[in-house]
Amino acid sequence: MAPICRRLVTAPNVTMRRERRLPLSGEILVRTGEAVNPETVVGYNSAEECLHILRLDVDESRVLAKLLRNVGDTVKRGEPVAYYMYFFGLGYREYVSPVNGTISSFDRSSGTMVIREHARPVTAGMYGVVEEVIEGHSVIVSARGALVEGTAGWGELAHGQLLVLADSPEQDLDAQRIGPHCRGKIVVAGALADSRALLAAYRHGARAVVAGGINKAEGDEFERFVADMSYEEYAARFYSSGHEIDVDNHGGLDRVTMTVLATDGFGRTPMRAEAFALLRAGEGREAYVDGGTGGPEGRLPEVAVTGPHPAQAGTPAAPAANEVCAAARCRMPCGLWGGLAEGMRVRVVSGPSRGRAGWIAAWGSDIVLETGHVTTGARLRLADGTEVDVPVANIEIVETGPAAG
Amino acid sequence: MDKKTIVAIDCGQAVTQAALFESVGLSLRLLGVATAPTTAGEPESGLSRGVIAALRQLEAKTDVALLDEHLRPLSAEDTPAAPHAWMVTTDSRGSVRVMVAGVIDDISGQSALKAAMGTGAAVADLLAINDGRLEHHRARDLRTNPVDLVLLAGGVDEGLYSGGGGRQVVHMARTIAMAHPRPRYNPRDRITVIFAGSAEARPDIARQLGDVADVVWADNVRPDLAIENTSGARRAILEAFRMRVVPRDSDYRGLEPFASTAQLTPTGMAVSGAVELLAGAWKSDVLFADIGEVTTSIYSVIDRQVNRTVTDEIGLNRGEVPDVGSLAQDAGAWLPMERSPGEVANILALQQLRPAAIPATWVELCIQQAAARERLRWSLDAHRQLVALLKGIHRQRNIDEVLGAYVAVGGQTLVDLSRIKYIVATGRLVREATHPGQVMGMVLDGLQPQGLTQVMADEGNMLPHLGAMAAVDSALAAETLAEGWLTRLGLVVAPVPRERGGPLFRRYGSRMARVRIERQDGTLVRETVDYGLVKRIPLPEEETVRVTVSPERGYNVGAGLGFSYTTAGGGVLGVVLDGRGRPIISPLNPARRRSRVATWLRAIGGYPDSLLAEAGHGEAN
Repeated sequence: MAPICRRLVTAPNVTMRRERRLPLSGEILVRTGEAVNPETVVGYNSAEECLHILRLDVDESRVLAKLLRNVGDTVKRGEPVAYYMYFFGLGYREYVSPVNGTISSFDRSSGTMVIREHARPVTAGMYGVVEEVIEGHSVIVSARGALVEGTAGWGELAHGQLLVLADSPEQDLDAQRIGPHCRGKIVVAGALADSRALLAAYRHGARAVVAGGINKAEGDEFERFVADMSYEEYAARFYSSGHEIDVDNHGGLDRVTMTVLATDGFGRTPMRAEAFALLRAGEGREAYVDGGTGGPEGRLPEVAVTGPHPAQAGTPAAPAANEVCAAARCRMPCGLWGGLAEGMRVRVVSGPSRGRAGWIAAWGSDIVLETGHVTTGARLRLADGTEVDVPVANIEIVETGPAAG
Repeated sequence: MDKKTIVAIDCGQAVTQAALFESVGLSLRLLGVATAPTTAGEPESGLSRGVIAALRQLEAKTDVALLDEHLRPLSAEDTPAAPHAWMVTTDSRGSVRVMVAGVIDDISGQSALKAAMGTGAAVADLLAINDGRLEHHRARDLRTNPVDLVLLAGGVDEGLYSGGGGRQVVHMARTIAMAHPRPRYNPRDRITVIFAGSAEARPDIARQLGDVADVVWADNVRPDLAIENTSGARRAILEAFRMRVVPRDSDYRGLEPFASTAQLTPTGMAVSGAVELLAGAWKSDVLFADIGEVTTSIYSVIDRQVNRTVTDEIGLNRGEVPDVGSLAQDAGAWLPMERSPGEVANILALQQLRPAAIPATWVELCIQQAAARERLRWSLDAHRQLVALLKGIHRQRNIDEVLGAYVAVGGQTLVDLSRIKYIVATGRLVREATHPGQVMGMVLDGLQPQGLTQVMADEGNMLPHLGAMAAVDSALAAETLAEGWLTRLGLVVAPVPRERGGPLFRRYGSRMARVRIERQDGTLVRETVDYGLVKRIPLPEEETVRVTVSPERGYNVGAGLGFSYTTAGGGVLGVVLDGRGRPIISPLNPARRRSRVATWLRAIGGYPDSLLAEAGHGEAN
């Protein structure tokens, strides 16, 4: 029996089913069979319980602070709602709203101000049709398109047009090539996007950066940098290229984010040729990038082109609900694991040949690693004709076929 | 006597291992072992795909037919040569994932945490009234964290509503109701909430949770503030796992036939069973370290009480574990060669994402084992925190406390390494180490044993299998474990300097203790433990020697400051004299630190000279 290896999907035409879950119980706004686009709000969480409490200074049931906002007013995160000046103006205390929301009540005797957070919308994030609705919980959106599964990601779901800024999968992203034309785009690099390139893309308003490899430390640092970046701070730092965000329409989401995706690994790793070709072919088309979530149950990082092609503007790319076949009822079109076979396209995830892709020439014999470890190996034929022996455990199958849909 | 064949399967986080045993009476023989990747999350076949792949390999290795043409397990009724018993343990995706909720995190939360971890469960998070989160943030965390069960505890059994505990535990139930969590295996299903809190609060809890969850009642984990009783909650979790999770989770689909002899058991629980048997046989406190690909579990038996804690870096279990960047920074201190933290972080991050991958170069192996040292250290710290005197006990202060001579407020750890005479290392990193010295190095640097400690390794990763066997035939498992299935690595001698009052600076190479080794042929070996140095006295693997250690003033080897201590031990590495003090302090200068680490690794063995030579020729001290 052939050993089994993990699959990494890089396919031009697959059917995807993706869950969009409400962060708290709430209301689902779409129905089964409804067509959605990336901006479609599929549901809101209930804001009833999302209460934040501010305690203002009181003295014998008298509020000392002067109120700047009243009950029913809408406030933004960081906005002063009251201040208290004491000791002949030498002491000053300011009370700021911790969230975007509405002041729902204020008790003058205890100085307690309750701010209700805005309900948080959940968007579809992709073109598709709603296949399943679990009331008050989640929806499943199915779509058909090109899918490139990644290795690691940072950030939330983002969508935009693909913009390729590398001439080959081996080329690093040059920060000099990033400019205002990247605004609202998903920037595709070759082998590496370093911290300079990430920051340049961020300041010019790119929605996401996709590269073969990202340095783990730089990715983490960038994520921390972006995590609490409000629109105001973003505009102050990058005023020359700050982009507008309609805060009111997005409820509590006033943060300026950018998603980062490493398709093939950490550090400088050339993007696998199939993925680069697929993304280049989709240049100018609407795509979405998901940075995934950590943990074994989390969403996998991926980039997918599910939008309508410019030449077919107005034609929905989403499949009809009855086209979604049973095999697609999973995160990946044909399962996470596949059996190894001769001639199969694979890539190496670890060891001296890390990041290289090739074809299986033979498998099954034991190999001895330089550490003395004996394990089942496979012989790979690389693109330049050379052959290398690698452990089967260090191989990933590059799944390129139209597995479903 | 009848020969019986037994197939034991362990579905680990990254690798599924199948082992074929043959038993004759109370003697057990291993016929073969095979591994395959764990196929958790596979849509159609779940874990059974990896199990079948491992069994197919096992068939090829042992020439024993295990599966029929439909890939179902053969049974003794089908063919006489077929295995007589099948058992499965599972730790894939944390087998059963539990959200723990309590009133106060240090009291009911801590007890509930112990109950969940004792069952082999992975704990997604600990919610408590005093955890510093807003109520709706707690609810959001509960909802977005995929779990199988919720374990709710809080309140005492009598006089609950006279204090404030009653209202608090009902409030926590309200938070759970607000979150309306769904089980990870099917979001259309109702979640199971195990209530192991105050019996008086049950009607209120039922009222709060009746609409959103199936509530299962269990004995209170803290019936009184001074009493902890986790057995009822553990039974309830195990029963819920077997009766509610396994039949509904697609991952376990097709796995039942492979667990025909004993019911599916979480690996953590099986290992706990094996640990208990071994501690009983050795009549001593013991510590087990399971060094997995992404998780590190510590098991201890202290005063015949089994404890288990798990830490990881992928957010599966609650624990104070830093991110990969910090891990890379700290692990760099254990590397004998120069590597930037960024490069180390890249390698570690990839190992976390692809845990089934094998380190193919010395550099990758060194980095993996250096990170394991740090993970062991954090895990032991977490274990020390959990295995502690109960908090929240009302007690009158005695005269010593009033005078400030003795302070006891609860929370002091019960894990005293100088009392632990056996340390056993197990897990995938132990199995994949290519030299016993590498395992010894991880144990020495990560756990930092104190006094005289016999270090052993479960090189075949057999403990889950033997633990599962113990549930069916405890006599066979006990006999087998006592037979020497574990590899004796060596006896560690590590004098501990006095905590207070010692010299501020110790001279490198100064004597800490004198060691006298009586060999079986009657010859004597004399050696000294010197500050900052690691020495190894090689011995034949099977030889057990008698070691007497006489510490200098201000050092302790288990009998008190300055008192001699004698014990017997040995192993493949012989006797290891660790004079680095506790805790181990490395030089701040990077070149000097690398040189020092290379010296230590060279003394224990297991790494090539070419790798250690990379440390350069920095000063040795």
